[in-house]
Amino acid sequence: MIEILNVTKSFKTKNKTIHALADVSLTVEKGEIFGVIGTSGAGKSTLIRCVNLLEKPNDGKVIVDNIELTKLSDSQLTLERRKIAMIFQHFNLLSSRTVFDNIAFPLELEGKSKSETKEKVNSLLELVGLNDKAKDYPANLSGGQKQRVAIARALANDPKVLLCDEATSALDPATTKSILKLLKSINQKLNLTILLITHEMEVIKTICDKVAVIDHGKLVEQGNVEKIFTNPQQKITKGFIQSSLNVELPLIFQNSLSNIDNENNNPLVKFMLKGNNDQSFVISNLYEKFQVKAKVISAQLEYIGNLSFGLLLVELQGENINEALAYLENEYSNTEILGYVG
Amino acid sequence: MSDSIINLLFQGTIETIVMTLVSGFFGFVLGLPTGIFLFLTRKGQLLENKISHQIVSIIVNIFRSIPFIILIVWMIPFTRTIVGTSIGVAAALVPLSVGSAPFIARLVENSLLEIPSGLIEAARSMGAKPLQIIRKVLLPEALPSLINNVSITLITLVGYSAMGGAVGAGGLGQVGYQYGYIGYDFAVMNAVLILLIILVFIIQIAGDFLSKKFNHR
Repeated sequence: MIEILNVTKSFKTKNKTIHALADVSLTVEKGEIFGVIGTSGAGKSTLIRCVNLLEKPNDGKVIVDNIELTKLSDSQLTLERRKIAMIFQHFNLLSSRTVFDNIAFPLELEGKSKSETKEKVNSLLELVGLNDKAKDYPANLSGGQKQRVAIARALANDPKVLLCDEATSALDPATTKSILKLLKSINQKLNLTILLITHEMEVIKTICDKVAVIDHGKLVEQGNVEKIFTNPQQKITKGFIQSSLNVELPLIFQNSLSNIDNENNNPLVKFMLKGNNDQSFVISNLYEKFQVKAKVISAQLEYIGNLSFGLLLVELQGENINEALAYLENEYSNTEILGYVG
Repeated sequence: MSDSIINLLFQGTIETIVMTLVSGFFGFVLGLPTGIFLFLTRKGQLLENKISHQIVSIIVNIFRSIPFIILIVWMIPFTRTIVGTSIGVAAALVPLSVGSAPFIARLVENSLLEIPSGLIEAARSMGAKPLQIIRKVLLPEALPSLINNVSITLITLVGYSAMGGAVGAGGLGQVGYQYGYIGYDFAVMNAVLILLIILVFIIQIAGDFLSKKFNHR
């Protein structure tokens, strides 16, 4: 549905050229939710703006629904944009218009009749759950409500794709969840293709089918979310995954932790579980194979589809600790000895 | 005060109001599109064009540099070809409109600059044509600020039109000049002042009220 082919974009400032995108290619299939994750300044905003050509790439092709946008004239592009909806981090609602009139805006641009507009806007208000706010002005809405209005407005022209530019980054965690849920339900109900950019792994994990990681203007890794989460190749990807899992050493252990490895001390080990059913039996495996007991200190498990992955922090007790450690290092990833406790 | 003086003051007030409103109207007819043009041709805006922006900007600056009282005299030949005379209310309208237009243009440009750029970007992403962006985004979003600019302009024009009274423009300015400055009639001069003050207050209060009414931010 969306094809970005070898897109390059650089900006010239007074004394240097910034390469925002370097030879980026990606394909989003119809009905898919595709997430692009990157730190700020990685080029993800430029990337999503290149899809509807708010930013014109220096080089490369952008094809949406088999129409090569990079070939169109300005006026053709303007009309084509009506089928490529976009929502923003700061909502960008018109403060001079009520909720109803904001949602009606794209229909006005098309010159739709009053009755048609009314019917469409009311059904969209229903979809985003804001029927009672039709006559309110955006200034009187909460952030989450504003984004719902923006989503309704984006859907008014029955778009082929929806672009989300950090759509949940200005929202609190609970509101983020509800907006993501809304996006997912729209994706399923309307079979709408969604391309989103974010810096939060949480967003990717919650709704995306596929993910691409962007760093310094290059796509360094992409694939199914399950695959990327359970088998990340790049350091930056691992970093994002780690950041979405927070297993911290409780304070009480931090104080008694030492570097001394002797008979009386037990190691504290952190390691990652992923996807694989057998790995989840880690505690019984350790005991059966080495008679080592694992005391769970802290853990976080997440599910992506039917795959589970997460971090575990355990204290190992028993005779064959070195064998157990070797086993953990071979069979699990990111295994790390944090220290020893008495 | 005699009936004839009161009549004169009444006549003067009406003339001043007519001059202010009519020249304000024409000032906006000239200044609003110019202001929009200045905004749109700025760097990074919809119709970015450095050369056009510079040319219009320089013209605006030149007209803003000319003191109004000189502008009236300087424009006499032009005024004559347009309205056929160089004295009276009709003649004053020409320099008042031309004199206020560049001022209005800058005020409009500034009002438009206050609009968050994301709104224009959103409108572009929805496939709005440039004219639709002007009509449906820029002007409505800037409306409260534009209304404030209207009151600033009208108040300035009350002052300009009074100044014009000294060189035959009519209105309260002329009454004040002739009876106060030339004739030393303090009663009339003070009456003129009070009438001007009332006029300015009415414009300011009405402007504030309307601006607030249309502000939904």
